[in-house]
Amino acid sequence: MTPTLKGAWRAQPPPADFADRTTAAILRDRAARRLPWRRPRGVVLAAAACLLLAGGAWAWEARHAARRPAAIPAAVDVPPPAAAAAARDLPASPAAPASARPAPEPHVAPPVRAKAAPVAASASAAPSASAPRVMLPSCRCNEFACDCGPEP
Amino acid sequence: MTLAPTATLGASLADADGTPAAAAPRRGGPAEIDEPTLEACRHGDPAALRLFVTRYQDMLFAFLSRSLGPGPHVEDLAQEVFLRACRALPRFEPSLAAGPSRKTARPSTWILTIASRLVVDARRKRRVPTLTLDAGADAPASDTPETERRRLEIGRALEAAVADLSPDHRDVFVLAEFHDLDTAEIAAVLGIPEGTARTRLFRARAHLRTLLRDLWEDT
Repeated sequence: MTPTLKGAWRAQPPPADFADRTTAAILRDRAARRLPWRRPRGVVLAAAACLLLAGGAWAWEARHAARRPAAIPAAVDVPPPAAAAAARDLPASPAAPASARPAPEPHVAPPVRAKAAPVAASASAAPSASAPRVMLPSCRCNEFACDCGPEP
Repeated sequence: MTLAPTATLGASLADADGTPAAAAPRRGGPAEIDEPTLEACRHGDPAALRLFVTRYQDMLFAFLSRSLGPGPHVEDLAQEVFLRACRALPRFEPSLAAGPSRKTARPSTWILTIASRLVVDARRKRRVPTLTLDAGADAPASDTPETERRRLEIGRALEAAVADLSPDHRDVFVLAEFHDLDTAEIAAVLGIPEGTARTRLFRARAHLRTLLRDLWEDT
């Protein structure tokens, strides 16, 4: 295709004030887009970031709470009737709190476990206070059979 | 239509779009805007924005009016192209050095990309009139009446032949012949494979050569 043929097809020229009007339109457009209520994207991003942080913190806390060792339930010690009676007979000191009560007398029998299995009683004759206590299931005996340890 | 060739017509019409050929890095395109001016445009400097518009408005009007036909819609679309370009300017990384291995576009190619998408949208929405032959005939005469009459005849013949092309072929032809883009750039501007651009350009030229067989080589 020759330059003559190309040049013969004239294009539409821009108006003389096109650049000024377009520049003003661009500046108006920029000013309108800078208004804070015209920028919802920043608000949405900030809200999403806050939600993400809160969710992450909650998940972290929940995970570490699950890994934390659970508190071992203390065995319920029931004082024997004799010890309970002796405790009732002692005069109460109003100055000393209940937690500061003196240890029971040596003649008082040690507390027995409320539902101690016979097996546990025979296996560990004197369980120490610091050793972990083993909880065994209770017997389910009836008149025909009994699984509470060895036969007498 | 058969038109006799005119020997003195080519030199006076070579820069009919008003683009300064000496400052342009390629024949049909404007001189690219420099990086400091682009940076000032990103910061909203009015003088830089005006220079940006002034630099590319002729190219943009030429592409829009040849793709869609002349009319008032060209001005509206050109302003929309500049608005979109300035909104996207912070994300644009220009490549001011032309070359086949460039990965980013030149500003002129980038603006033509935005314009081509608007052209496709305008055609789809049927917001623009069909290509009319008489609309572009009121350009001011710059030569003798005989030369101008001859140019108008050739221009109308070419415009009629281009109007006979499909829109896809017309865009490829206009970008190749009037903006001097290679097939890789045309493919990038129109968002098509390079082979498709090459095929469309070949078929468009063949069709126009058939329609303008006397004017194609002789003028």
